[in-house]
Amino acid sequence: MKLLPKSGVAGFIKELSKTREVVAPVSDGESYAVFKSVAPGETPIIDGSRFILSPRSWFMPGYEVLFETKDGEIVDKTPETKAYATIGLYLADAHALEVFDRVFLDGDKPDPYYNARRADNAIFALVPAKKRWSVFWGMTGNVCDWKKACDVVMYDLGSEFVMEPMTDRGAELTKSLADADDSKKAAADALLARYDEGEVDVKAIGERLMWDNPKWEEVSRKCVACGVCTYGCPSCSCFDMRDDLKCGGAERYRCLDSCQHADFTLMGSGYNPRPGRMPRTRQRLLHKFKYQPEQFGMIGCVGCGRCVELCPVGIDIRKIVGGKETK
Amino acid sequence: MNPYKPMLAKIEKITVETPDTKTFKVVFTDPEDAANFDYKPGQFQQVSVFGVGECTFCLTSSPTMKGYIEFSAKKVGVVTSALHEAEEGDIIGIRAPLGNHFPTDEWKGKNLLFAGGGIGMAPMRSVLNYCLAHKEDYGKITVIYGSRTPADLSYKYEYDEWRKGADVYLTVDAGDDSWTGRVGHVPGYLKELAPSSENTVAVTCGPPIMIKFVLQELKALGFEDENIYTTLEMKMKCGIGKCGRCNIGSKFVCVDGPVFNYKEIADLPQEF
Ligand SMILES: Cc1cc2nc3c(=O)[nH]c(=O)nc-3n(C[C@H](O)[C@H](O)[C@H](O)COP(=O)(O)OP(=O)(O)OC[C@H]3O[C@@H](n4cnc5c(N)ncnc54)[C@H](O)[C@@H]3O)c2cc1C
Ligand code: SF4
Ligand code: SF4
Ligand code: FES
Repeated sequence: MKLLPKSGVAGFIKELSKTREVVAPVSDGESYAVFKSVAPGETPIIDGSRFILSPRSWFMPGYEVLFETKDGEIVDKTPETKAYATIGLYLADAHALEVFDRVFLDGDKPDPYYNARRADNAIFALVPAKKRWSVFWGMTGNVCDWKKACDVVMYDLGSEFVMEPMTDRGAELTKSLADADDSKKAAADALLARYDEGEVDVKAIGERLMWDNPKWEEVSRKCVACGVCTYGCPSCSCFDMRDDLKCGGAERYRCLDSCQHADFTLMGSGYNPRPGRMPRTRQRLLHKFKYQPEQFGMIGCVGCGRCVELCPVGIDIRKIVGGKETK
Repeated sequence: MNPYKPMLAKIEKITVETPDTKTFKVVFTDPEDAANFDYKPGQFQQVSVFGVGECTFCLTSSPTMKGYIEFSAKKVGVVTSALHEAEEGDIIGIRAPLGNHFPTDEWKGKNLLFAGGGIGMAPMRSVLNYCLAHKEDYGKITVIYGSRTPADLSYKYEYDEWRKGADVYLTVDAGDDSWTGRVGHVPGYLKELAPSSENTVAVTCGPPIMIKFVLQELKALGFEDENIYTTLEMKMKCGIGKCGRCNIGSKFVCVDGPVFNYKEIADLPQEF
């Protein structure tokens, strides 16, 4: 393990940016931090002082042109694959990328746009010094396992980060840093242990969240279908595809979409198989806690707590999953 | 390979099937695309009208028809309306083949019963023509096809060809002056004809209400769930299991479907 004093972060990033484009949460000019390519001299916000919006906005941008048509030809807009380093996403967000990998890279038709940003991207994931009130990582998985999703795990010990390389790439990128002694290692382990909640019983969750549980009606009653829970989520991956006319041609782009909106499943015939808030709330929960585990053996929620904080009517996924509202 | 990038195709011929449905015969503009293209009956395609959007149609042609593909589009919304305004010679985009297919190999040696209504004939026409072209592999083939009015029956120009290898029964909800055939619904006709379920696979596609009653009749005739096939429809965008839109439970209709048998359907949340 290595040590990175907080006063050295700017220098570390400067060094890193010699070989990689660095992506990290920076101020959005208002009250949030958003993932962007860090401009020279810009300091990322990784000290827990701001609400960090999900890195999804960088890995799967809210608006992305897939191709254009020009003079009767299709111009592919797949971005070039570059060397990136993503710093300051939470350990849970790093695990959310593993969920994304299953969705976008598995199977015989991998997504080239996502892949271009993911293929050579060194992940420096954060275990914050203070556990936010909304966070429940440990309810959704084994947090120690999630370290495998990272190149380097950064434990925030207050005035410094303990840097734990998990891959050869991570070791290479941190080799210039000083070694951490045993007491720091112990402090890092103790910090992560605070997020751990023991064995997760996926089956028991699946049984609580039965499709025909009569409680769904009650659980979803307050929802105003704004979709913020899904837009803010690091592991929500649903998107829409649309066309626009452009000077001399057309473009096809994809954009964020949400299962919480009525027209997500509204068909041309006027028929909607998920016709109200109840089936749509149920879809969001079951997709993450039942369908994705069935599809690829991973819970699709990482317990980051963003939806808990962002929901305008206080719908708390922890109470639904934990059984408080579904038993 | 970019799975979001369509192949370009030229509309060679537009056939007006019914007042609201047209069949488009298209040919890939790149000879390499044309040479590499192969599919199975029941698979579908995403059709682009560039600048308007993309929508989903089954391949209604059969793989036995070489050199072109066909789809039939009912006019309902934005993209299908744009398609209905398209002309022969126009260039569109095609992403295909997508999804699973009818298990025509497993069906070898069996009798086949097709019960379809309206635009539901589009996917069935593909598998019907495929099986007719391989008639020696199958037993007796029966087709029951119905629509609201005689004008709403699609593929009229093919019925004579179908009759060479299959028993074809047509029915309409309401006839007109020229209609001399049967008047009534598909499920009623099925009950009347009472085909044997012995060594027989049934395929039914059409409006949900028709399917509901066809299923009842098929069960009454002794058909087992695993021997009754249909295609399911959910709204689609990506067609490749990524946009997250077309799921029924943990299945994506675009990847695990659109073809399902009723044993598989019984295991899904009833939300489609
Ligand atoms: C597997 C499958 C096979 C189909 N085969 C046929 C066929 O052979 N012939 C036919 O006429 N219709 C078929 N449909 C239905 C057809 O896809 C819709 O009627 C069509 O997408 C409506 O597009 P629109 O732009 O005109 O409608 P709008 O209501 O304007 O829809 C906007 C967009 O939403 C999506 N969408 C809306 N309704 C549907 C829908 N029912 N299914 C999938 N995507 C939808 C499309 O991307 C569409 O462009 C099929 C649907 C599926 C899922
Ligand atoms: S806590 Fe909410 S926002 Fe975070 S991963 Fe789970 S569902 Fe998504
Ligand atoms: S954020 Fe809350 S109100 Fe908005 S869609 Fe999600 S659950 Fe409903
Ligand atoms: S259409 Fe996108 S997941 Fe099926």
